[in-house]
Amino acid sequence: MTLHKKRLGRYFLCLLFGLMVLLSAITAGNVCGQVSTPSDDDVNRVASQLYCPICDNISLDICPLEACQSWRDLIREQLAEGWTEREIKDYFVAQYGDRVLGAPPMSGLNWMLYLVPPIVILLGFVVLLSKMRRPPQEERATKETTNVDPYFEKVERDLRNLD
Amino acid sequence: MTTSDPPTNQHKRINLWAVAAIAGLLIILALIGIRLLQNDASPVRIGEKPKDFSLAAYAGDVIHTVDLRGKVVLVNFWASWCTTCDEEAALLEAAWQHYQQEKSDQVIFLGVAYMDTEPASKAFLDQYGVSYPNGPDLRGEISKLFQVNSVPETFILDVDGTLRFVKIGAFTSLNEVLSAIDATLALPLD
Repeated sequence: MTLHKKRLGRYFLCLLFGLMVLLSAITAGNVCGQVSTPSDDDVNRVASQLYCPICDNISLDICPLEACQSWRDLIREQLAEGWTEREIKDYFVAQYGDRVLGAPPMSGLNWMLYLVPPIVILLGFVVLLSKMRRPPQEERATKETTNVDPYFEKVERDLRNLD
Repeated sequence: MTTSDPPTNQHKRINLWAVAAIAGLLIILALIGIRLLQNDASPVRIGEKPKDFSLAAYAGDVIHTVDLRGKVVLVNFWASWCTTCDEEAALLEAAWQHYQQEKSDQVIFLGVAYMDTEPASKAFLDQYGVSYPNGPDLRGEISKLFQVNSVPETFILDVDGTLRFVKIGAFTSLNEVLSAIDATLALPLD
């Protein structure tokens, strides 16, 4: 009886193992299928981040030109081959230049585009704060006049009397 | 009396900040100006020498125009998506075959695929049986040298690398191509 139970347990384990192998094979097949046939959404997700090199400010996903269609086809092929978004973008930059990117790359003088505006805003805040902390001109003037040295006050008075 | 007082330390500090800010702004403007000057390549005119460039041909070799001195060089910008490039491709191939038979050591054609995908370009070349060297305009560097904004456009350089002929739009006949090249070949050497 125990032997029979053990045998049944082994069969059950084998069956379970077989099922797992089958399931993983099916899942892998599905994954491969997804990679080999990227959907329009997959293509447009990448295409929307790239700009048509021969148009003015039109992203590849909405560009109606025949040339743009061939670029979208190329993206589809690259996705099917397992290229990442980064690799596709790099390929497009290498082929057509930085103009295909939505934002200029952070290199060379382009850094200024990213650094200068926040620095200017920060400087503006600093100037604004320093102005706000300083008392107004009139207040400063009265403060200065009230803090005049009595000796100088006397000299001033004597000079006025001389006139 | 108080107005003629020497500036306080705080005033001095603010003045220094102002000077530093203005200096920084001037430096940034100067850098932007330099960059704009670098990018502002004025179009090459006939009689001028465009900068030398390299073409990574689809066949796998790299052609450097500096090595082509002594030959008349026809540089044709085209694209597979261009509607008038197909007829011109046939004309240019016919002209290429003509010079291959007669003056293969004096004339070379270079096809530059402008803003095109490699599969589409190769299919186009196969379709029209184009046999002269062709390659992509990587990063748009070559078209920038010639200020190409549309295709087809063709430029003919003399044996010295000086621009002698410009065709905006497609050639319409074989004679037109041949006469442009022959005229450049006939130019006296400096």
